[in-house]
Amino acid sequence: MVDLAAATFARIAAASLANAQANASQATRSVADLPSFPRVVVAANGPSLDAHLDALRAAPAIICVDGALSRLLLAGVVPDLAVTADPFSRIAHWFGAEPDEHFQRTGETATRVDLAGIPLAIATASHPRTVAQARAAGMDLHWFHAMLDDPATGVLTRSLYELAPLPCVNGGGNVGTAAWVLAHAVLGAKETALVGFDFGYPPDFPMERTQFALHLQDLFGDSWRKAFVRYPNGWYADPVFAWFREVFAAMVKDAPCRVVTLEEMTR
Amino acid sequence: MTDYLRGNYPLDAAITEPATGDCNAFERAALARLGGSICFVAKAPAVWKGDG
Repeated sequence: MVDLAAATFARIAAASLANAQANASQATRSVADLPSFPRVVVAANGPSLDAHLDALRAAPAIICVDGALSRLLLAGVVPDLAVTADPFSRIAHWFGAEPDEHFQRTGETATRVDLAGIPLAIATASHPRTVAQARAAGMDLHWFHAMLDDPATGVLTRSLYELAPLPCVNGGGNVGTAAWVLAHAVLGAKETALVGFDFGYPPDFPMERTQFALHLQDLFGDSWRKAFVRYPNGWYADPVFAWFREVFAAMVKDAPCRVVTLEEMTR
Repeated sequence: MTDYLRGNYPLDAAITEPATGDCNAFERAALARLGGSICFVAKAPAVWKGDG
């Protein structure tokens, strides 16, 4: 099996560092200056999010990932903070740019919504196109670094901090996990509830529309569907999402905050 | 990697690159496209604020 932590580093570290260097001069406002959120719902962009939109209205506070922004706003739910961290230019779509071929294939196209005034925790690793689009949308940007290596033994995270003295967040592979880490490790959450954290797909979701379908087809040819992990409840995940799930479960185990259901938090 | 191991001095012997099939190169390229969009650093703290 591929070492996905190493594969992720190989895939994005150089671009993340280059983006951070391009963004450093404007990364003056830190996420550390945001108000704290003692109890907060963290909303990721999984298929199950729709089932929780109504209940979110009773949440004490909401932090959402970039991809969930328009889904929340269209339902009349305004998040207290959005989070973006991916280094790819296509992420600008979540802030109003046209979707690229990837988003068209997966069907993850966002409806254009009014984002003005919404606070955005943005990683310096974000592509400059994403930064420009979020600024043009009128969002209120606060910055952090996405950790690249262990600051105790490596040099890359330390070099990010030298570019701009911002919190360096261990992102767990994806923006949902990064948003949850921000909530408890930077914004002081003692209790978090999770919605849309599926790390997978429902049984009837077409495999052709999953995020890594094309890469798995390249890798495994006609057998590409065998690369997916099947769960007892019928949901399934590609190897990358299964890794996200594993990493997240390990991080939750060691986290200094309670993770509860949305029902428990809004009771 | 073989470039690093070759050294910086002339040799009389001819060096033949080990055969790597197209399949291996293809697989490496495909694998390089898998992975997350943010790093996960095992055993590192959840957040580092420049201390230590």
